[in-house]
Amino acid sequence: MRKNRAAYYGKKLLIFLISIFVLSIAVFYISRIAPGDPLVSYYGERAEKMTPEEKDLAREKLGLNDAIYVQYIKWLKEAFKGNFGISFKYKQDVLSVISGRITNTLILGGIGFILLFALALLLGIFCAWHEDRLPDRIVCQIGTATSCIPEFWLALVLILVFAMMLRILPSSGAYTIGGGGIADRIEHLILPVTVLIINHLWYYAYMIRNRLLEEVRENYVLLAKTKGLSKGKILFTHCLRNILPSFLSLMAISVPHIMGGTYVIETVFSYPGIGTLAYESARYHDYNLLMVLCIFTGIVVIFFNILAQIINERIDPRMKAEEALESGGDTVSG
Amino acid sequence: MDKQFELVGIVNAPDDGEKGRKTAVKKRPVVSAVILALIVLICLFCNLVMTKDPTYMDLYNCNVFPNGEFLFGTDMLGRDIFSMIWYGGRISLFIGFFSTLISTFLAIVIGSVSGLASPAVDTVIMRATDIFLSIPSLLIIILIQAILGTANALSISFVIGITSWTSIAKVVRTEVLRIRNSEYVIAARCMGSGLFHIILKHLIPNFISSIMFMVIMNIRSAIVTESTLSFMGMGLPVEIISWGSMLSLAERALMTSSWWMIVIPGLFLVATLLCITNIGNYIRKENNKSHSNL
Amino acid sequence: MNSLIEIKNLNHKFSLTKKIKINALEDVSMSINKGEIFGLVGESGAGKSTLARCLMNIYTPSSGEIFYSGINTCDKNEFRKNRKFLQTSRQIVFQDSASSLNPRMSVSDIITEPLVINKAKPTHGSYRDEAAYLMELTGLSPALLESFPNELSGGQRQRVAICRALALDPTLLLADEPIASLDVSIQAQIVNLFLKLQRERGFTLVFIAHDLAMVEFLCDRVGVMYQGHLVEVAPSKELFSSPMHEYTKALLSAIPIPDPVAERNRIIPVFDGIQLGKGEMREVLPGHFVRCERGDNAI
Repeated sequence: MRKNRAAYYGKKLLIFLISIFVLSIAVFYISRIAPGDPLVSYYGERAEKMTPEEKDLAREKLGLNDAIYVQYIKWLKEAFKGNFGISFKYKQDVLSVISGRITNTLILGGIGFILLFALALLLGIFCAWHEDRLPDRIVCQIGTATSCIPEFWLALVLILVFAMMLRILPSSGAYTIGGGGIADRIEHLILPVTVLIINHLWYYAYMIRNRLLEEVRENYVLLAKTKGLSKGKILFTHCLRNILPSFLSLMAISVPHIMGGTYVIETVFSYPGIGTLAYESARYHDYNLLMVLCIFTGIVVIFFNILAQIINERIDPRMKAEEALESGGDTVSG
Repeated sequence: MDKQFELVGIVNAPDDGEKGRKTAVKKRPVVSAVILALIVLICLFCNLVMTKDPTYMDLYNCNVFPNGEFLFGTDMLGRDIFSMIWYGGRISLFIGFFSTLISTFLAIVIGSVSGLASPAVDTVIMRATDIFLSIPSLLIIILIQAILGTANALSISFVIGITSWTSIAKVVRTEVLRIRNSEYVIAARCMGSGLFHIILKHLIPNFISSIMFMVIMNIRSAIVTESTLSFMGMGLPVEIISWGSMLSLAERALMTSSWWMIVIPGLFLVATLLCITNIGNYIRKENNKSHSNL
Repeated sequence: MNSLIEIKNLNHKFSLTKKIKINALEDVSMSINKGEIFGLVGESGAGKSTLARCLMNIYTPSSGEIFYSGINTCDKNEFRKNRKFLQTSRQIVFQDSASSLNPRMSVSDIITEPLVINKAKPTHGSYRDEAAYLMELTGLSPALLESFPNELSGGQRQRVAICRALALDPTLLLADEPIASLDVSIQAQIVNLFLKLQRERGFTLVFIAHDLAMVEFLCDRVGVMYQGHLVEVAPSKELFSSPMHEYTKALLSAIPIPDPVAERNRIIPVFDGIQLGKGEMREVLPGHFVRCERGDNAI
């Protein structure tokens, strides 16, 4: 049994590593054959004035003259030492460029993620409770409508209303330059987080709603009902516990979607996170930076995909219920 | 005899829940279909309704508030937004349909091959698909778009098309795996039918309904992707008018609080997307219904 | 004897995993004559359907040979050379008519599918006319031409499947448990239909069934299968009146007798799953073959 489990996780780990390897090769090649001169991003204005010899020397210095696979192997060797090269644009070590930004993205994504799923769960329960009655239908209609709004447009409209017309919230950045208390940070987060939540909320709430509706059609619910348990008790202590694995795997799968969403939102709000950074590096052909960002994103995404698979394949709701009984049993509520 | 077989203990429960579901299923998205048809038709025959040349930059009338002459106002470059909406809608819708066509075609080919091939080939294809799926599509699109150079409607449909086939392909594969061992396919093989005949006559008609919903949602997400890209300045340039590229001037519009430049194209975009979603949801419910009846 | 099919030492294995293999067919040899109705009986998992599918080239047997009209169908080259002939002259009817008809095709499309695939010219006018003709032949109303399989009853669907099999006027018709999923009254109808069609058209029919009474009624000769082995082959009457093999005896005892007294007093022979090893078929009476354990002279 234990051996099987080790083999299972070993296999998943192998898939994870191979995926990242293939991903890094793909990104490396694609970014290298993309047109555009990386010298311009490195030397800026100066690049245009350089003589061909100077350019050649500069390329040599940056290691851009080798065949792509040679460049890749070099890059890989350095990467294992923790050296991912320097950003052409920022003229700094790539990791230090990213590390300056990543906390911002984590704050935005993390707060958005937690709020999103808390609200989605509540909304899902609410809709399932009122299945096909007026409140459910109204929420469903509104939900479908909100899920159709492109997030960049929603962001624009919110900026227009709250920043430009009402002037109560800042329109861009993560904090006021010079200032920077916690209150200031929160103020800057309100709009981006709102967009993130509104954009994804209905999709997940609807999933949870449907999963719950499937669950309440199970026979054990009927049994609980005949035993005289109240509707609330059945729903909260039995059904919710049983949808826990689905809920967890949904959370895991959602990470890439939410990550993609944050990238767009960051760009609209000029929020200094890795989304804006990725966008900039792609525009200015900042290879090393783009490479690391793509791989970083890929690692996160692949990791959570595999996690979702493991949750789906491994966690049997029955096993879960037994464990919950042993430990006294806490249901998820938020 | 009757008494002997009388059933006791049956209470006819009020069946309102089921009834409610049925009406929800039966309700056809007439309103959505009509609005969508109207938008598509006007966009197709935009010459009939346009009051101005949408590409003409009237420099004396930049940034004009909606009025009698410019029904929806003008943008920063002095173009008439009312005309641009219909003219640009054509491009947006074209990109939506065309990229979906590409991605559906790819999905059917890859999914069918994967489903019909030997397990080893199948595993390789599916792993590759997973890796492909793991890169946020926006990043791939930006990368490919960078290679292709300046975007036009065709190139951007192509890029969106080749990045959005994965989820449909997975469904196609699952369906093909299910159908290929069914006895009518075996019977057709016994009669000596070729692979092409089987795919065309047996596979596609049987899985088309299960991917229909996803295909329609693909149109929706393609339109969203195009507008997002164009807005970020990586999709269509300002000269090629689409709902997305109209919004690419939004940053400047924000400065002057010219809300009409942002709100009006966006409303058309959202209305179209909502109609498509409603139709898609209807199709999905119809499919589920027929499945559960079987 | 002019036999249509010669099966020689046929073996077929299914691999579940790399280690576990299942012998679905072991050393099966027999022949089927032209124009006869041959019944194949045995319990579930005895290998009847596997044998049928090997005969149709759906499975490629692990070893052994099948000669169909003198063509070795297990040989890839020979099969390829005679592909068209083999695919048009052999047809199969499956057990589950619901899954053997494409739910998205109309009845007329289903029936004429073999003609379309083989680009054969219909003998009765257009494709539609041909379909209508075949439907009338099998007792279906041509009004159903445009309906879809899910609108038909089980019996009707099975008739459609038979129509499809007959469209190319085959020499060999394999019926793989065609009546197992039907109601008893419909079963009789379908069996009668097979009998009628066989008499009219003179094709060879291989009829696979659980239902021994139906086999006794329909078939000229019967083969009994057990655990992938063929244990007894005999003319129908002889097999049902004087079974030789132990398994056959046990199997036949399962036929209910429509007489309560006889039924009550009947002694059911005990058969507790003997393991069959190496054995060979011996002709104990003219045309009556029984499988004997090697070196065993008991029978």
